Amino acid sequence: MSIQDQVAEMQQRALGELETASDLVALDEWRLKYLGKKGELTGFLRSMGSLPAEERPVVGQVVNAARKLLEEADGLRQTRLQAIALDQRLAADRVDVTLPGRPVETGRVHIITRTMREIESAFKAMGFQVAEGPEVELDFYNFEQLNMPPGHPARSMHDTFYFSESVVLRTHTSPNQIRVMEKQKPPIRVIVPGKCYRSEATDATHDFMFYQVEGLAVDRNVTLADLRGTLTDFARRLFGAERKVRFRCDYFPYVEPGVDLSIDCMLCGGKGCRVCKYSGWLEILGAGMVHPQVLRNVDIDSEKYSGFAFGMGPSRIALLKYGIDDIRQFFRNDLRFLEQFA
Amino acid sequence: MIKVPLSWLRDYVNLTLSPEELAAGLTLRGLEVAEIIRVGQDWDKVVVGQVESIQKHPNADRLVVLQVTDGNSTFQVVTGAFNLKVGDKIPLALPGAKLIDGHKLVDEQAAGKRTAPLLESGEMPYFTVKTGKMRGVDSNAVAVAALELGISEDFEGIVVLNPEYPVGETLNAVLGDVILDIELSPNLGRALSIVGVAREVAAMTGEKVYLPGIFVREDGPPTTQKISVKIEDPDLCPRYDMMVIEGVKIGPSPSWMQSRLSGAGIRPINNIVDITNYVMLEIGQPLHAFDYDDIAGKQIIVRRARPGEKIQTIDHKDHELDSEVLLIADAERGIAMAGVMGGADSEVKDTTVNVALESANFDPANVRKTGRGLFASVSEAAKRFERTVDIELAPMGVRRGMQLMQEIAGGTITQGLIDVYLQPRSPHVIELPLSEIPRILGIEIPRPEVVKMLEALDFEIAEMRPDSSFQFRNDPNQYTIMVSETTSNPDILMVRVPSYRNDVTIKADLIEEIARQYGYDKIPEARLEGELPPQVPNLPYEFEDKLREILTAAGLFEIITYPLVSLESLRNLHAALGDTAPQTDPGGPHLHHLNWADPAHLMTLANPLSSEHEVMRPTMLGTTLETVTENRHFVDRITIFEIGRVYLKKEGELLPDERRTLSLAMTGRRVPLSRFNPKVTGADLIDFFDLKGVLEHLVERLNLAGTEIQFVPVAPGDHPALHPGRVVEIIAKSQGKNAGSVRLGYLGEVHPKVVEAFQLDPLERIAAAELDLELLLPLVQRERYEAVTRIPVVTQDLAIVVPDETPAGQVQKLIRETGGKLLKEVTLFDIYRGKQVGEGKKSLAFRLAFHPQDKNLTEEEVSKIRQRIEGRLVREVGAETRG
Repeated sequence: MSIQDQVAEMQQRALGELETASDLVALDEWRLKYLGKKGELTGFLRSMGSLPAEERPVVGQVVNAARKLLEEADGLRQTRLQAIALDQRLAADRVDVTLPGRPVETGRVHIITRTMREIESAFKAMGFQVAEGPEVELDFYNFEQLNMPPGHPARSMHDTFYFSESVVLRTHTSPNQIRVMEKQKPPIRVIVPGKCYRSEATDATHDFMFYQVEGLAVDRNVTLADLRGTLTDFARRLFGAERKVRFRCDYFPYVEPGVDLSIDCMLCGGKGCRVCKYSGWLEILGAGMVHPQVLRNVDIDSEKYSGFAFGMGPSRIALLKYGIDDIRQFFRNDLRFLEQFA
Repeated sequence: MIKVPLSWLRDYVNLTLSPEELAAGLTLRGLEVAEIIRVGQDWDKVVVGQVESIQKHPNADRLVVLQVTDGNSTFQVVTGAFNLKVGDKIPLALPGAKLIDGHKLVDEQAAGKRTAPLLESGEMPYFTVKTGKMRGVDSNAVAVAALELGISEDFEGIVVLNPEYPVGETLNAVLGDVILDIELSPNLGRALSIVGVAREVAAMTGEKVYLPGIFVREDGPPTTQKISVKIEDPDLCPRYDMMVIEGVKIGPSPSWMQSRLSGAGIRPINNIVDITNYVMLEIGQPLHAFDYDDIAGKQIIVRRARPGEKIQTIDHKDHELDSEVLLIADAERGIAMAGVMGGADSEVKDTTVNVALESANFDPANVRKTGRGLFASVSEAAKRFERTVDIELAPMGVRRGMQLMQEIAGGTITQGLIDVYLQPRSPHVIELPLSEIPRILGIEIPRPEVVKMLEALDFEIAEMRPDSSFQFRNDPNQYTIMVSETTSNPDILMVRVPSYRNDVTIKADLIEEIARQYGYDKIPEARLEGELPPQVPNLPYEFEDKLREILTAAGLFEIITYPLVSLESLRNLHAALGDTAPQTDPGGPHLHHLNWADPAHLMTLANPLSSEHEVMRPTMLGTTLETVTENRHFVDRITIFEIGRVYLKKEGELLPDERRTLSLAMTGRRVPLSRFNPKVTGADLIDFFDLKGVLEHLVERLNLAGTEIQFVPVAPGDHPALHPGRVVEIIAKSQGKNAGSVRLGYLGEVHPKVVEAFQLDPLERIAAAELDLELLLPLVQRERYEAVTRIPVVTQDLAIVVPDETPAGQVQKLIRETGGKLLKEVTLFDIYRGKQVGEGKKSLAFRLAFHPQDKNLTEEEVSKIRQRIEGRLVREVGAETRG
């Protein structure tokens, strides 16, 4: 048998075996056997030395042609086997994708904290900064400096917890207006968030502790129109751009003129419902121009400077925003309640 | 609160607006209409009937048979009321009419299901009128009592209507009404009357106010012959007016008056008392009627009570008084508590024939103090005096009262008004520069408009003359003001305030009046201009949010609890101590003042609502544990924290130290039940190390460069609320400038006895910690970048055997100290006890991670460090190395 015939026979055999190589391991063995350093093709080349010189190129050509053919076949086979292997892996990986995922455990910021941050960020964007103050407060700051001397009728609107005649639990965050103005001079823009207390019986809409966010802006030429614009912007930012805002006269001893700001009830669209007590309006904050006497109390010239102040309850705002029906939920801290607020 | 029947309001002002428009307008002006009540809308098929005959019921002594006409037909009506006479006009309910079921109300009251006033006792039961028989006699309609209509509590008699009402007219047409229920802020005393509200309506609509016409026929003897008045304490009673009427006949007041009183929410009593209430509601001047014959010595003396003096008020309560209480006294005793309530033994009664009528003015603060100090609810009179009554109103009050008494109860009025008014007030005048309007309101209003607005509110504007003098119309006096910079301004209005506007004292008050007239709803929306104040960080506040971010990411929920706690909950923290008092460490930071329930260190309320919320918490541990209790039955994993304050009484100071504090607690399943953690029972539970891990993580995130936070074992019993074997003190050790150590707080598992005291299962492990943030915050440094190299990290495992009692923390600390800068991480990953390491010993396996700085680390360099570490462990803790 000529070498050419032997090569042809080997090529035939190799191609036949290649068909039976059913996985990549078998293919590797096949490759070693025919194409490897010690493989059969290499054997032919090695045996060429014993051939006459004129035959060598011819045989070389034949062997190289066979190598090329086998390598191509190998490549095709490899691609095919890889595809099969991948298919098998994918089939084996198959899972019930309807099974639940692994639980992730994260906590939540309290809904009141979150609401306060929303309120604060609206005002921070307008240059207001946070100032805090004591909860156990002097009657002097909580009432007297705010134009409510002893016996003032407005004191009856504040059911007050007393430690002694002169020390109270603050009934609002307004005393911090005074504390801020004692230290800072205009221009002033601050907000005061914090806990407040009233000694009143608790029910679904009243709690003896609640949060307030107080605001104060004092400068030359601060007007009621500025107050209206600032608070309207705020209300729309918090409750939606489509909200109607009602601006009406109200009374707080430490402001004059006094203001109440309401938004149209988003639960009934202003038609009247239980939440808005059938008025169509939801009161969200009290405000007004800082009373000249209050400015005088802190040595700010009320002829030169004017200011506005406002106060609102994050609890009430959260109640309205999320449709919560019982204010006592906030400080009961039932985790099933708290986790509802991402 | 005032209830304003529009039918009554209409007497003093033309109503040009619908009730809804009126309510909206008043609300914008500060008189908040809480409710529009429509009376009589549901009086379907109730008409004005007239009684034609009254006969005895043949079968029942307690019933009568009426024939009542509605103008067309006559209805036979059986009723149990005996107050009617032939010719009376009454409300007649025809078949199909729906009425309040008075019998049911009364029965339910008897059964204890309702309390008086019945009309305010919840949902009303109704019945429908049908024809039928009563004790064998046909009854084809119902003669209606006031309770059945919902207009008053009276269920005894049938309502007798005004004889002028046309027979057959629907009751709604003659008696129906719209009532505005108005909430009044404390400054709105002037609107606590129908006339007061009428003034607001007039100012709003441009209509005129018609005051009641008063004509008093004074044909008795001079008043001064009948009685004398002396004010001993004019500071508490600046004015006292009185007249006497003789020969009155006490009886019920006319139905129109009763229905007005009822509409305004006041219960009719008798004609004289009703008139005092009527005048008070009408013009705002509280009156008090004395039985003249009960006034000893015919003297009225207004004086402070003598300490210990006693009086019985008309509600038949006895009071012992002090000198803060102002009394109306006669020659012998107190006969009324001034401005608050009359005395029982001088009150007007059925036998009264002569009446002395008081119309006075009392100090608001004093009335407030007396009224609120001695009575559960504020009387209508006190409500008005508290908010200041117009001092010029007193004469009108007494005259209006006299007029009505004579008209309604007959009698002769004494001549002349006793008017003790020691220091008459002069009208208040305010200088208002027009420039104040744009300065405060942000709007320009032309001068004539401003004048018009103020005049609509009864303010008088004087024209200033060039010589700075000015004069008001209807006032002969000419005034001059000092020429000053402001007053030389031609754009100044001199504004005289009506006497009933005691709420207007300064410019700003007038500005509000102008805003109200202009319309709050028309104020434009502007934006703050001008320079911003310096913008500076608020570190403590921002620090709180940083903590929230870290802790919620670590799986904890933020809670907010009431800082007002009970003494009991503080005592519960001492439950493990039995009867021994907790140790305190007076020199330490506050979290070491462990005798929490000691009242000497607590801020205690003088007027708590209940003992449940009585003291300001000195620690947050209790409120945190209570939250665990609150949740225990609902969830199987509780991981919570609170950032709040504790309140520590400070020696010699009024206000406590309010310290920002962090409190944490964890308990329950470590990992939630799922197919990945399928153990329903016996699952891994949270313990000390879970919370320690959270705190270690927190410390790592808080950039405390230069400070090392140590979790230091404490002696058993050092913290009464925590488990003696599972507790550490958290200590911050700082180097450099602020070298020293600070005790930040505690971490531990809660002592089983304390767990039990908080109504939890003592077998539960609850990890809890408390940190003083005021101490932690100053340790936080600015975040600094540390270079990260791309050179591969080299890790090595190190296993050593040490005596069992050697704390792992000590070993770890030695490794860290010895490892030098390159050793970045030391992770303890295995602890083994058993035969292979020998009795009383344990093996600890650490993974050490070396982070090269600038070049690859060689094996040689790493083993050198490692040998150093091993050598030190052998020397200092007797370690044996295990390859």
